[in-house]
Amino acid sequence: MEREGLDIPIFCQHCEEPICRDVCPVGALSKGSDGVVRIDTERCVGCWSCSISCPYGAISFYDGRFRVCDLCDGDPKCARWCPTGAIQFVEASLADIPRRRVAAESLAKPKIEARAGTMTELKK
Amino acid sequence: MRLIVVGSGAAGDAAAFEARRTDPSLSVFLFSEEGLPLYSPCLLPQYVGSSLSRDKIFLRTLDDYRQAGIEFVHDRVTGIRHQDRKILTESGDVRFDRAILALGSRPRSLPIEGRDRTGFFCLKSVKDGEAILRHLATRVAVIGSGNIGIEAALALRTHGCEVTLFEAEATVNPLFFPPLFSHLIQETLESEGVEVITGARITEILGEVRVKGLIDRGISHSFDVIINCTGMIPNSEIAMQAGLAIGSKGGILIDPYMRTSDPSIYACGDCVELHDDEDGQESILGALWPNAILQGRAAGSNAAGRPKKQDDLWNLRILRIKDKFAVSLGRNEKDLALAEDVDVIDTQPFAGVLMRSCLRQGRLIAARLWGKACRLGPFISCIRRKWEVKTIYSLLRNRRALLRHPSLGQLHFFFQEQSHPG
Repeated sequence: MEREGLDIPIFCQHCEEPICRDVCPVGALSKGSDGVVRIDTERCVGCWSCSISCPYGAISFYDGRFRVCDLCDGDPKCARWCPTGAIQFVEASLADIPRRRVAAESLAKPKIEARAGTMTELKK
Repeated sequence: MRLIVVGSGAAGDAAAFEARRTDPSLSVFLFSEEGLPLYSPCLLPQYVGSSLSRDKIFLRTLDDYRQAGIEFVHDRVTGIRHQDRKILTESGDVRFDRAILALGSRPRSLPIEGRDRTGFFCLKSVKDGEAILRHLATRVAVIGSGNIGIEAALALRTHGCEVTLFEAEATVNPLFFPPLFSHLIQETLESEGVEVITGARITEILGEVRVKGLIDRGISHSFDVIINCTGMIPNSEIAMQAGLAIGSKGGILIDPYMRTSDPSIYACGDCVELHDDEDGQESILGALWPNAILQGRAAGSNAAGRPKKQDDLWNLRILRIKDKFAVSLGRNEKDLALAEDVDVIDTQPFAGVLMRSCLRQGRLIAARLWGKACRLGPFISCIRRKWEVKTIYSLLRNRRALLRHPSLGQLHFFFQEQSHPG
């Protein structure tokens, strides 16, 4: 989004079926019962499989070890310090509501436009 | 119904757990030759080097099997009589309704004289690694320049050995990389002090009791230790004796539902060969951890009665030489080199990275990379979903789609307008 001057943060989505966990040959990545994907750095052998295969590019090698968003143990700093409140930390079920609204709007849009079109034609 | 899983490696383990999850009424028996719960062979070097405690190499405990309702049996399976649905083991016969074979693979042995001499090793188990370390000598020959051969050669260099790498074909690592990339790999290896000999024909191992050297195309070279890294072959003998179909590369032939030629027997992991329906002729071995997991899950699900298709292979090979990365993704180079309908495009998506993408009928089927490690996630998705390059372009032009799935934006790196026409 560089060309458009837009900033879009992309971070770990803590996938339902994380591919990073499946490709890790040493079982260093796990998804806990709380749904958070974590790395056991002691087990990690640095094969890069997770980092290379993550669809979001969310696993990075930094300061000598691989890192993935751990949601700061339930208090993500990115959300806490985001000056515009663009990043929020909310329950997945709540976060889905605006997304569903966007989907519904985009589905309804052609119908609304068509209706508006007939209205203007009628006015003529 | 009784399901028997033979082999408790990554594939067998995934199959047993998935089968129990799919149908909790199923009685599942998991046969393990070693009698150990699932462990990661990739962690064995760390364990041998005592930088990791023993419990860390295990990914399961015997209690996990008990809790999941899986009967863990420590016994060696010696054969199958699939007509009367029986598995033959060292301690007797066991009847089965469905069976899953997860037999694994073993190092290929060289068809030459002198394999039994002291100082001639393979590299697969902890024992091999420990033996090599005990015999560590000054002059070492590594036969085979696949990923394991190259990594072994580099590791031995750090121990101060003089290492010579022998490759039978004209370029190094020909299974995964085209000559352009092989030359870069070879140059980097040579700058690390590894001598590389290509086109080798090794006919004899020299020495009476201990290894003294080898003969390559009539010329003798002297070595103290020889390490055979010529690849792995599937353990398909049990299936072959039982009369199940075997593929051209020696693996147990399966369909996308992991079924062997006997519909009540499934197979998964290193021991199988998957027929690729894309070009109809080639079949591939996908001996990699992620394939074992994905195929194991599919086999478990299918054996428990819920159809699950697993027709693609997770073919991602990463080779690291010091600070350089060589990555092969998708179909193997060796299979593609013979195909005539493959378009090849070389690009430089960003500084210091050389990339080759291979297309068949406008669809991405493979990619090779050299240079820095870069995130290929979205690219892998494109290959797995068999997207056409046209589709990817229209997605990248669609601002709404990008805003909703920002991770697609990373594809911009690989699909600059000038690099892929169309």
